[in-house]
Amino acid sequence: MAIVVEILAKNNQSIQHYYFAKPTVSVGRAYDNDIRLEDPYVCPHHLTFSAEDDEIRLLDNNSLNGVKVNGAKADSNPIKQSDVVTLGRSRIRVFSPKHALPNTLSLSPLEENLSWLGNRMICAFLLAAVCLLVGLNYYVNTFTEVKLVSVVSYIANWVVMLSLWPFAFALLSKLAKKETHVISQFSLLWLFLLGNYLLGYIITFLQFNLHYVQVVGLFSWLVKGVLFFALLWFALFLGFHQSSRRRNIITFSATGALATYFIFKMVLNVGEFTPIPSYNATLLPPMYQVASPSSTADFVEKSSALFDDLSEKEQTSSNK
Amino acid sequence: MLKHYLSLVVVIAQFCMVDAVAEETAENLFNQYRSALYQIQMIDNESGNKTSIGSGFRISAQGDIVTNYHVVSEYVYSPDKYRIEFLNSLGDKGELTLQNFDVVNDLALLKIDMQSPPGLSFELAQALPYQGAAIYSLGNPHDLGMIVVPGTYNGLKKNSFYQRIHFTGSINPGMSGGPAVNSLGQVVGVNVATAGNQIGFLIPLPKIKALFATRNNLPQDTYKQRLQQQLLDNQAQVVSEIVSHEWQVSNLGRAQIPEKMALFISCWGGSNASEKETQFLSVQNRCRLGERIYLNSKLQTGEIEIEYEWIETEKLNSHRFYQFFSDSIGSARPGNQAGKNDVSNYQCQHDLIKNTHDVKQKSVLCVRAYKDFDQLFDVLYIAASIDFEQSGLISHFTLSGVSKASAQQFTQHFMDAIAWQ
Repeated sequence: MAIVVEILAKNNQSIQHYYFAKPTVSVGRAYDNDIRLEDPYVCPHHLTFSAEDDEIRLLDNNSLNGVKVNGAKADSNPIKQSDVVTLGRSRIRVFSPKHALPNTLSLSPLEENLSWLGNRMICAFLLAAVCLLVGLNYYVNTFTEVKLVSVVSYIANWVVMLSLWPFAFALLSKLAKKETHVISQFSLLWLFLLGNYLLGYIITFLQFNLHYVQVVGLFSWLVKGVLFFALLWFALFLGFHQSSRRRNIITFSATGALATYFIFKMVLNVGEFTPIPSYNATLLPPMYQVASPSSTADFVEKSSALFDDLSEKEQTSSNK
Repeated sequence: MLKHYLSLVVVIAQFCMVDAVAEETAENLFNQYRSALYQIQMIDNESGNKTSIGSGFRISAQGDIVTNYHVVSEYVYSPDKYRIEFLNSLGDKGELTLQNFDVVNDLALLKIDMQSPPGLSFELAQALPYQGAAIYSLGNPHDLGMIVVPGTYNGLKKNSFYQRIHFTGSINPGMSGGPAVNSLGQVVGVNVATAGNQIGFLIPLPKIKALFATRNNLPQDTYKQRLQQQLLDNQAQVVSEIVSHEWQVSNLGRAQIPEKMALFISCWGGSNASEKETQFLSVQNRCRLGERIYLNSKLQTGEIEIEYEWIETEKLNSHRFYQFFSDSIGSARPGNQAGKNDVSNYQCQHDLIKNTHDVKQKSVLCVRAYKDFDQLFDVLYIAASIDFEQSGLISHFTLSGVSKASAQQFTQHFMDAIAWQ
C-alpha cells in the first residue's frame, strides 16, 4: 500500500507532495515524523495515516488542537480523495496513488505556432517599432520645438505604463502555477499597439478623403473591438490553460462589457443638448489626397438634405 | 409764484445759460409727463411677483404704451405663464395687453386697460433733431424711481444695419423702454442699450411710428408666427444686401479674401508676428455684424461672423503642419447664444471641395434648427485649404437666424470668393 500526501496552500492549491511506499505515515512537529510540519499549533506526534484495503484512515494521537476534516472535528475516520485535513494551521490532502487523474489535454498546434512570440529578438524589434511610432506621434502632435529628452521621457512613460498589462498577466499565470510567458505577453501587447496605430493611420486617411465620416468612425470602432478581442484571447491562451470554451466566454464577455460601456455612453449622449458642433476636422498633406474634390455647387446642393432633415426632426418632435 | 420762479431762472441764466435752460426743461418735462411714464413689470403668474422690470410711456389718450420688446419677451414666449402690469407715478397698478411688437427693432406696443388714463400723453416728434441738440432720456433705472437723464443727440449710429440714435448720456438697466424726448417734450426715440460710459443707443422715431400704425391686437397664438415672419424678412434683407453687391478683395498671405462685404460689417485684423519663439506665422482677419436681435433671455440671433486666418510655417514639416492645421479648425463655436429650449444640436456635413478659383479645401458645414421657428437655422462653416505643404488658409463664418435659401446663397458665395494670388 502506498500513500500520497499533499501540503496545501490557503486556497487549497497543492504546494508540495510526498509519496510513501508504506502503509503508515506519521505527521507532526518532531523530526522523526515522515512529514514534519513547522507549525507551532501542531503536536510533536500529531497524527498518523494508515492505508488498509484501498481505504486511508486517520488516527489522532491525542493532539492538543485536534484534527478537522473539511472543517469538522474528527479523530479516526476513513478519508476520501477530496477531503482537506486541517491540523493546527496546516492543511493537507491524503489519498492513494491510484487517485483518478483528469484526461490529458492534447497539445494545441497554436501553442507551437506562437512560440516565436517568446523570441527575445522579435520582442525587442516590436518594442522598437512601437517606440518609434509613439515618438513619431508625439513629434507630429507637438507644435513647439521638440527636444530629444522630452521625446525619450514621453516614450519611457508610455512603455512603463503599458508594461503593467503583460506583467499583470505574467503575475496571474505565476499565481496559477503556470508558465509566465512574459516575453510572449509583451510581444503580444506590442503587436496589438502596432495594429492600433496602423488602424489609426488608415482611419485618418479615410476620414480625410471620404465625406461619410460616420461610417468610417463605425468601422474604426468595429476593428478596435476585434483587436481588443484578439489581444485578450491570446493573452489568456498564453497565460492559462483553460478550455477553449471557457476562454471564448471570458473574452466575449470582456469585449462585450467594454462595447456596452461605450455604446451606453454614446446612447446617453445622443439626446443631450450641446451648443458645440461636433465634426471631423482631419487634415493631411496634399500627397494623401486621393478622392477627387466636388464643386462648391454640389456641396451647397447636398446641404439641402441637412436643412430638410433638421426641419423634419423638429417637426416630428414638436408634434409629439 | 410762477413769475417769481421765472425771474430766478433769468438770474441764473445770466451765469450759466445752457445749464439753466436744461434744468428748467428737464424739471418741467418730468412734471408735465410723469403721469405718462410707467414702470412695466413682468409678473410671474405662479408667484404673483415681478420677474423683471422696464420702462414704458403712453403716446395716446387711448392708452397706447410703447416699451422695448425685450422688456416683455417672456410674455411673448409664454403668454400663459406671465402677465404684464404697469406701475404709474401715483403708485397705481393695472394690467396691460400686448398689441403688437417689432422684434428686430426691439419695440413693443401695449395697451392700458383703462377708459381714460389721467394726464397728458407724450407726443411723437415730427422729425429727428439736428446733431448736437439736447435730448432727455426718461426711465426707471434699477427700480430707483423715475428719473431724467439729459444728453446729446449725436445722429444715427454709423455703419449699422439697424438704425439706432447715438445718444451721449447714460442709459442704465431698467431704463429700457423709456422715451427720449426733445426740448419740446416730443418723443424722438426709445432707450434700448448702453455701450459703456455716456454712450447710449435709442431706437429712432420712424420705427415707433411704423409700429404705432399697426396697432391691432395680435391673437396670442400668433406671437411666434409673427416673430418668425419679422426675423425671416429681416434676415432676407441682411443677406441679400451682403450678397448682392461685389465684394472687395484684399490679400492675406498667399490668398485673396473678400474684405468689405457690406458697410455694416466691421473688420479687425491681427497676427502673432510680435510673439517670439512661435513655430508659425498666423495672420487673421475677423469681421462681424456686431448687432444681435434679442429673442429671449437665452436666445439671441441675427449675428454674422466672418473670419479668415492665414497660417504659414518653415519650422514645422508638412505632417506636423497639417496636424496643427487640423487642430486649428477643430473647435469652431457658434456666434450666438442659444439654449436647449430654443435650438437643436448641430448636424454637420464634410467634403473635399474645389471652388471656382481652383482653391482646394476641406469644408465642414454645420446647421442647427430653431425649435420655435421652422424656417430659421443657425449655420456654421469652417474650411481649410489643402493646396500647399506648409501653409494654408482657414475660412470660417457663422450666420444665425437665417432661412435655408439665405444660408445656401451665402455659403455658395463665400466658398467661391477665395482665390490664390
